[in-house]
Amino acid sequence: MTAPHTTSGIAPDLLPGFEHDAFQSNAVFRTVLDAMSRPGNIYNLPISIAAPDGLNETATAFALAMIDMDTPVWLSPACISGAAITHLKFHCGCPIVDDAAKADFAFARLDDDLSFLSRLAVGNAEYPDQSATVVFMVDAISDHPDMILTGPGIKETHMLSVAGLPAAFHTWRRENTTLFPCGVDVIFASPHQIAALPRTTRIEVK
Amino acid sequence: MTAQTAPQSATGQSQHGQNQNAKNQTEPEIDAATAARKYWMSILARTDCNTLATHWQGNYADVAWQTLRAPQIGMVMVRGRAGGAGQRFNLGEMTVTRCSVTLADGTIGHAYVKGRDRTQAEYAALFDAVMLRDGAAQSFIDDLAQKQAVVKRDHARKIAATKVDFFTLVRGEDE
Repeated sequence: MTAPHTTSGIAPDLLPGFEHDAFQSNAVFRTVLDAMSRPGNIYNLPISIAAPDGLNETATAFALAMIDMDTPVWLSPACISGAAITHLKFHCGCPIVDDAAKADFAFARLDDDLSFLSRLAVGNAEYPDQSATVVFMVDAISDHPDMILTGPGIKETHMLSVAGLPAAFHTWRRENTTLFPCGVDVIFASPHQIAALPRTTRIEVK
Repeated sequence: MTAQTAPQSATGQSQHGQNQNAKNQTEPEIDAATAARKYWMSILARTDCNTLATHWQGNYADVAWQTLRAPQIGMVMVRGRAGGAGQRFNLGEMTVTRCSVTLADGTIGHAYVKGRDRTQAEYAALFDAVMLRDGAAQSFIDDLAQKQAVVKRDHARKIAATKVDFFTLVRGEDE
């Protein structure tokens, strides 16, 4: 029996997720894996997906690929919205928490109050993997030499520039680097690009 | 995909609280609208794909809709009660396919059907959405319900004919 014929071009309250669940979540996962393995390298989002209010396309794709019912999510005041909560609950089935300390994944924008960063879980010596990952939705990422990165996954140095990165971020990041093997990993998600700063990457600000 | 706790049961438990654990043994109370939806969703889930497809193509072929969650195949734990009314126990896992669709006006239809038929899940979700929107498929659902009831009764009658009653005339320990 043939499948029913679908009609595109309508905008419902609840947006669709991946069109091909297995292939698209796989492609996004691979991109995130590459980005984490090669800190500061910029990768294009391999798919296109509908994003709810409060989240951008890359952050939405990341969420759908990485988050499930076992990973509590915290949304910053700048990106929390009814649509975003509904979208994540429906497609990921994840709990949304009020306290950043309880989250495995945190979504924020750079104009948020960044004090939540120091409340995020950093893991412990036995289980450093129990740390949180923070996804910053940004306007643009480039390889302009604003930050010079060194560390595992980088042969010599690597350049990265993130539009609107405040000094408070670097202050927090310097503390975060001293916690190894614990610490929080950072993902920068512009609307169509992704770059990562794992906890091991050292940043020299120009 | 792994089995997820249904949202209804989760909220049901938080509402009842821990001081009413006995209450959790009974089914959660539902309102009339939910009961009606539960009824047609269960009828649709038991209807084979060809029947659903034929009726859809014949009556609703021009309805605009979009997939919200493409059909996914997964497992759910089926629970039973000892003797039909006793303690709950996990009977075993079964394969289910779920699907969610949305109509042009934003009505969202869901379906969970047993087995691995993605197309059946899609049609069942579509009929759920149409029923939510304006109840247009009510007579179709009633027809299906009637047919399913007949099949169930015939089956029960066949089984009943083979029933054996055991009884004991004399037990050894009475001597």
